[in-house]
Amino acid sequence: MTEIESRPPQVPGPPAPPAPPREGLSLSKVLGPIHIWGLGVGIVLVGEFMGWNFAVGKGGMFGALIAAWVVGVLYTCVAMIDSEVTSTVAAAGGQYTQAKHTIGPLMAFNVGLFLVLEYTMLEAADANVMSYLATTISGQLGYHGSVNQYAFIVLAIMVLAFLNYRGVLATLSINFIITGIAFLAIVVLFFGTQGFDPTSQLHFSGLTSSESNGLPYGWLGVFAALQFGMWYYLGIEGTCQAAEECRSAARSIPLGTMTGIITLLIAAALTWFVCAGTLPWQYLGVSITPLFDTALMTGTKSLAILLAIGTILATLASANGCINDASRAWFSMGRDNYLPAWFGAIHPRYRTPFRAIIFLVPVAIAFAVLPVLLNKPELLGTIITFSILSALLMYSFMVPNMFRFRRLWPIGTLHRGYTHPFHPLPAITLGLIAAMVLFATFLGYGTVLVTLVVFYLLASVWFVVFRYRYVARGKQFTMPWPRPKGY
Amino acid sequence: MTDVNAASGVRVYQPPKQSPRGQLVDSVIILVLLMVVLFGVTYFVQSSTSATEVETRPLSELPITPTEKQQYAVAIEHGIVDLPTANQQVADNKQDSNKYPIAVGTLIITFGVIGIYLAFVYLVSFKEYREVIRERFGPPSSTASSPEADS
Repeated sequence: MTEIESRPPQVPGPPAPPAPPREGLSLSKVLGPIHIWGLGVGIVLVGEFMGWNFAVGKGGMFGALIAAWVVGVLYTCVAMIDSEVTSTVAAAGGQYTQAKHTIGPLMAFNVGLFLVLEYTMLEAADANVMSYLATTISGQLGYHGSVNQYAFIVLAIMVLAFLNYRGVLATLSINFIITGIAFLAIVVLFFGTQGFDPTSQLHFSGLTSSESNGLPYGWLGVFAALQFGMWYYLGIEGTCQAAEECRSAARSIPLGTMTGIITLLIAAALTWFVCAGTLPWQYLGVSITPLFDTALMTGTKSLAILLAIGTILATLASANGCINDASRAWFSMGRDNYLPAWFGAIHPRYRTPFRAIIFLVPVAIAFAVLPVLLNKPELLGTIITFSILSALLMYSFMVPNMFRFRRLWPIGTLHRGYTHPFHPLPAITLGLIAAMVLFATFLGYGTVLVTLVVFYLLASVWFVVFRYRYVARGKQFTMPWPRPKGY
Repeated sequence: MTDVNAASGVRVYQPPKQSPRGQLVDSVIILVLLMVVLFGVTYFVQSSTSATEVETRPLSELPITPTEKQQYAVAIEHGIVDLPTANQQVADNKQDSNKYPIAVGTLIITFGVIGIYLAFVYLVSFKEYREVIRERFGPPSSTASSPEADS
C-alpha cells in the first residue's frame, strides 16, 4: 500500500519510552517540499550539463542510454526507500541516522563518512568544472584573455559556504530558483533543436547505421557506462539530510524526493536525446559542457547564452546543496560524539551547523584545485569517482537497512509518513544494480575503488579502537520508537 | 565507567568527556587520513589517455559515418573543436571489443577487500547495536527472540 498519511495511525503495543532530549539549540524547522525539490534536483541537475556524457566515451551512445535507464531504476528504488525511512526518521544526517537505528554505530559512522565524502567530492568537482566552464564559455562567447581558475574555485566555494552559514531557508530558496532556471534551459534547448520533430534538426542515422557507433565496445562497454550513468541522478538521496529542518518531514521528504526523481528522469531523457542527435559520439564522450556545445551547434546565440547561464547555475546549485548536505552529516556525527563534539554546535543566531560548514571548506578547495595545480584536467574523473563510490557504498547499505527497518518495526508499529509499495522488490533491485555499478567502476577505476575501501576500513578501525569510547550507548537511539522486534 | 540504572537494573556506560586538545587531535587524525589516502592517490593516479600521435586527415577521410562527418563539420565551423582534435577523438574511440580486459586476480583481490571491510563493519555494528538497545530499553524480555533466530 502506498500512502502519504495526514494523521498518525494507532500504534499497537506498549508505549515507547521518551527519547532522550537533545541539549541546547536546534536547527530551524522552516523547509517545505519546494526546498526539498530544490535541494535534491539542485545537487543532481549539474550531471545533465556535464559528466553523464563520459558514459558515452565508456560505452557509446546506446551504452549511455541504457545506463540512463538502468541507473534510473536504481535511483527510483533509492527514492522509494528513502521516502519511507526518512519520513519516519526525521533527523539531520539522513541515512546516517537511519543506520544508527537499524544496523548499529559502526555502520552509522561509515554511512556518515560516505555522505560527507560523496558530497564534498561532488562539491569539489562542481567548483572545478565551474572554473573550466568560465574559461570555455568566455572563449566561446568571444573573450580571449586569461581566466584565473583558482579564483573561481575558491570564490565559488567560499561564497556558497557563507550562504549556508547564514541560514538554510535562504540557501535552499535560492537553490530552488536557480535549479528551476537550469531545468527550464534544458526544456528550451529541446524546443530550440526541434526535438519534438526528430527528423528536422536532429540526426540519429549515424547511430543506427552501424553497431560500431551505438555500442562500440560491446556489452561490456554498457557495463562500463553504468559508472558515469550515475551522474544523471547522483545525489538525489541528499533530500534526507534536510529532514530535521522541514516543517513536516513526513510530507515534504516524500513529495520533494519523488517529484525530484521524476524531474531528473525527464531531464536525463531530454539531455540524451538532444545531445545524441546533435554531436558526434566521439566528441560527446569527452566534452566538458555537452548541453552548451549542443546549443552552440544550433547556431542560435541566445540559446547558447541561455545554456551557458544554465550550466553555471547548475554547478552553483549543486555545490550549494552539497555544502548543505555534507555539513549536516558531519554535524550529526559530531552531535553524537562519533566525531569531536565541537562539530555538533549550532549557530546561536542562524541556527546552522556552522563549524561543520567551515571545517569542510578547505577539504573541498584542496580537491577542486588539484587538477588545475597539476595541469591534469582528467584527474576530475578520479575525484568524481570518489563521490560515486561513496554513494554506491551507501546504496549497498540501504538494502539491509530497508529489510531490517521492516523487520524490526513491521507495518503498523510505527507512524510512517509514506509506505513504499512492492517491498522487497526495490531493495533487491537496488542491491543488484549497485553491484553491477561497482563492477563497472572496477573496469575503469579499480585502483581508486580499492583505495577508497581501504580508507573506510582504516577509519572504521580508528572509530572502534579510539573513538567509540566517547559515545554514550543508549543515547544514540534518539527516535521515540518502541523496542525493535527481536531485541 | 558504568552506572547502574535503578529502574531497569541495566549497567549504563558513562563515556569520558573529551578534552579540547583531544578533540583537536581527533579532528587532525581524520583529516590527515582523508588527505593522505585520497589526496595521495589522486596525485599519483594517471588517467589513461591516448599517447599516440595521430596524423591529421580531412574529415572526408576519417572512418566515421557521413552524419558524423557532417556533425564534426558543424562543430569545427562553430569553433567547438578543431580538425586535429577531431582526428584524435576518432582515433581514440575506434571500435574495440577488448577495451576492458578483466584481470581475474585483481578482481578477486578487489572484491575480497570489499568483503573483508563489509564483514568487519556489519559484525561490529550488530554487536554494538545490542548494547545500544539494552541500555535504551532495558534487558530483553523472555519472549523476545534474537533477530538472527527470526531469519
